[in-house]
Amino acid sequence: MSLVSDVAEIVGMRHASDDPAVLETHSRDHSFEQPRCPTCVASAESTEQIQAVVRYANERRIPITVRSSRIGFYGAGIPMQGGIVLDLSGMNKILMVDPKDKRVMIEPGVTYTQLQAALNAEGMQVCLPLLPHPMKSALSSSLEREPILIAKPEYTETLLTCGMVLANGDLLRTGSALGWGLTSGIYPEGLYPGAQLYKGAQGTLGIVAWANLKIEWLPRMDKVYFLSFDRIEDIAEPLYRILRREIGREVLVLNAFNLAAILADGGPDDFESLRRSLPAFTLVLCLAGPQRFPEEKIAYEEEVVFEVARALGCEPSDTVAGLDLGPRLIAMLRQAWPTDGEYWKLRYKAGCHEIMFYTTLERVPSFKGIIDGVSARHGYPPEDIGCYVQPLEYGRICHCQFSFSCDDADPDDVEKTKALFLEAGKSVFTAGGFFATPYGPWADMVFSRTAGYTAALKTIKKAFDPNNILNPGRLCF
Amino acid sequence: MPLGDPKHQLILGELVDVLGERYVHDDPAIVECYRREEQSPSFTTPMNPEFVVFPDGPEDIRQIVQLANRYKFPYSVSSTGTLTGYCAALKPYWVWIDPKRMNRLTIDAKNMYAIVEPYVTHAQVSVEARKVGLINGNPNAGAQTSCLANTIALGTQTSSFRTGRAGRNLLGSESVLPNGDILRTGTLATSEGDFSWGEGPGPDLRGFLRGHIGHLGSLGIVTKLAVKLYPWPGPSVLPTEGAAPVKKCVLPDDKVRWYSIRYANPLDGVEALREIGKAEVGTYVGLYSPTFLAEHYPTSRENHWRDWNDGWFHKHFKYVVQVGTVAVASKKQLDYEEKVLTQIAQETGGVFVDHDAHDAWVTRVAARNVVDALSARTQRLPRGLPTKPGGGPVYDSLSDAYRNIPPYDDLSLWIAPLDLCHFAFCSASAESEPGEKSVAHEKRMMQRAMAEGPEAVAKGIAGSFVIGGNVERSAPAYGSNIHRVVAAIKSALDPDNLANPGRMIDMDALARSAQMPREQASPGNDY
Repeated sequence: MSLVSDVAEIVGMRHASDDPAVLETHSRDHSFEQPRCPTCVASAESTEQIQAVVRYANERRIPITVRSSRIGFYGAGIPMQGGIVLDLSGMNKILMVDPKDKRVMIEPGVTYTQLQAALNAEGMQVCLPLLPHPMKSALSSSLEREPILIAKPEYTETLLTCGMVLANGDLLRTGSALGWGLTSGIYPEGLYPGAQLYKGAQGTLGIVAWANLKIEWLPRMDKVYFLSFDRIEDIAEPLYRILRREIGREVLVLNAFNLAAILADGGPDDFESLRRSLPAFTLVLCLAGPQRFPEEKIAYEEEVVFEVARALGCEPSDTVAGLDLGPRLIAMLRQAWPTDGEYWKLRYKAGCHEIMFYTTLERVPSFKGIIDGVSARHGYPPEDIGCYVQPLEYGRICHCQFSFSCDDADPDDVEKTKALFLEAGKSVFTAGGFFATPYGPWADMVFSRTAGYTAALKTIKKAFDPNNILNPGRLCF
Repeated sequence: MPLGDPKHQLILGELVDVLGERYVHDDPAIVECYRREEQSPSFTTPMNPEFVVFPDGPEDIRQIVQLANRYKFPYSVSSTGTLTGYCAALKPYWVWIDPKRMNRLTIDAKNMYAIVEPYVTHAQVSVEARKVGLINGNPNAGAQTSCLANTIALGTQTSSFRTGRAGRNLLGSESVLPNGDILRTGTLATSEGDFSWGEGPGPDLRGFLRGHIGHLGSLGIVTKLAVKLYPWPGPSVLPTEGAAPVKKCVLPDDKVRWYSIRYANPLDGVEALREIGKAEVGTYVGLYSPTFLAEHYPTSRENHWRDWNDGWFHKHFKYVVQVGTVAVASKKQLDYEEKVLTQIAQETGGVFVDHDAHDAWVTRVAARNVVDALSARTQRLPRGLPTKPGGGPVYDSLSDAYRNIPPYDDLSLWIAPLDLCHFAFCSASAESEPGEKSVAHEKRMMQRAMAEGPEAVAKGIAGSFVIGGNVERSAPAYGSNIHRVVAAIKSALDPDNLANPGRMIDMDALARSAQMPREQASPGNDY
């Protein structure tokens, strides 16, 4: 029997394929990662099917790579060593919405689009990263630690508990979902080791079959302010001071390129016009009024914003470049990107490649300098670099992201941009940028410089997946 | 072991070579002090450690661990002396590592974290942080608790409504593993890194440091870590008056305000907590029964029973939702939050406790929510007894917290909502005078739980901690085989089972149950 027919016995004939076209589709994504074809693509429809496929693969030492999103930007779903690609995008049931205890239970294929549509009816939201692709799995995003727009510590760590299929096919329930007894199963910590261990693993420690995520009440009222800056050096202090007072809900900084890409809905001309008119950097600060006396909360927060701004000589405005963007922008930020529009990251060119890392706010300008320097050496136009700074937890640290666009159909452009991308990433890392979720080329770079951590990870990996069947070749495994 | 035992002398000599005579003790009068097992009932029977040593940093500890591997002696590490039952000696040649000299503290005010060594207490962190406009999550465990240990083991906080479970506050960390390797996590993992962030790279080894509890030193010794700090508007020094047990503290009304809202039953109180979470007001939030409050209030045993018998607590505080609001944004925030709380009290049937009773409580006890420096806990004279076989508190949703309140009156009840009510902690214990009877009761309850099997254990997550704490017992009770994975990690890092053996996972018991030598008990492909 062939691999595909064996797998078909588990998932059904319609859900297993070795059609070259299907394999090719699953061999690549939007990243620079080298395409690699799997031997077989299988779509699971239940936890039991995942377990059966994993057991089968483990017995035969066949690699398994999981895909939950129908889109990928970082290469994590490319099967480095072939084998089976287990497509979970069809497992897309919202198993439970529980407003009372502020959680939702979902399968891995549930997209942000689908989830938020269900939550809108309850007046709630899932905490979103910056305008995720409509086909992005909400669960994958949470596992991959995509930074959320809300800078409050209580909103972080959105993944509560999950059911994870281990390499031998056993189902491990994490946190208080670990077994019988308690009914909600949402407290993140259960037995040793803690559930945090499984985040950022890119499917190398287990395959998550379902999860409970935090959800939040939507505010009843919002007021969006913009602070404009010509220089990135000037953004840290206002952020430190405003966030130290625990002001604001969605808080982020975008440069003109990214903000124009998000807002331009009238084609290339609109994008160019916006990019020219927008400030170099815009701090977006949403003051949100919760369920009770929303105006009064916004009012006292507003006073603090103006007090800080006065002290620093900057001017909050409810418009940016004369445009009244607040209501439109905040509505956009609380949804995934619309399904009927071109994705904002791909509006300028067909490809977008991001360097993402953590640093402290005061160090952001030095990294901007590094990116500018490398870009200049490679002849990449500085105005085409996307910059996004996401303060986390009242600004104790930030997620910093620089992006480069390229035309994926043009081999020269791909080659040039890839060279720039790799050098820029290495330069950022060397200067102390922290790649917490090291995708693709960053894995070797990071793990070759973290010897103690890497040795410990390998010990853990061996315990969880002694035959190294789960996404082999990723991270340091 | 006799002091003249050759192996004892060999180990002693080597330890002295590493640390110097001053920092190595085998005097029976000294090691006897490290035998006690307080506040941590278990089935283990502690003995005197054979040595007590005082390292000064990770390099000293690394050398001790290397010696342990060379001469095959067991070792454990304590912190500031709370819950020492989890590191008490269980085998001959045991070396107890007391990190008294490792008491350094650094604060990064700009990026809001403190770097602590094991002997730094929460009180120290709190005092230093407040000087720079910050504060730490405050444990309900006493000011003397090690900030490091409390963050990687247990660590429910009076501020958990905002600061969450303690493990969420872990940033970069440094450990010495049982194989002598140094493990640095988060941003510290790279050689140029600092302590500013805890995740990654790749899988998040904060999960390696702790689950609900942590590995109790059985997979390494944490020598340094960074914990998150949070904004604090002042005062930079707590305005205290008097000395314990009558120490008082009144925080300025433009910075911190306290509210006590009384409910006829705990269900209404839980609904109020839910609304408070939804409104996102308050910093220190909890639901308490009179018994719990009474444990923290008295100045003496006599006063405790006098107030109790007078019905003072029942009259004023049954059941009470207490909220501390903090003016992080401005004084207007306090006014706003007061208005919201008033509305919530009205809607949920709550009544603000009479001024006199409320003020008496605030003056003497409320500030312990900010920093447990008023020694209120040391005044708690009665001993809490488990009210159900599972023993420990329940961690899950707020709905579960309510469902798990046993149907008895006069319980010492504490429901702490975490992360704006995303989940909750519920502790419900009965009260008794300390003594042999109470200890015997606890042991009976634990034995009952073990006898009654998985469901009794599963009623409380923390039950796995109290009941011997070992994952090879609790995982099967919950229907999980994760102990097999843990055993594989333990075998790989500590093949001779020397790091706090018997704690977190009992490799000998696992081997016995598998009827095979311990080294063959690691799971390989069959866990």
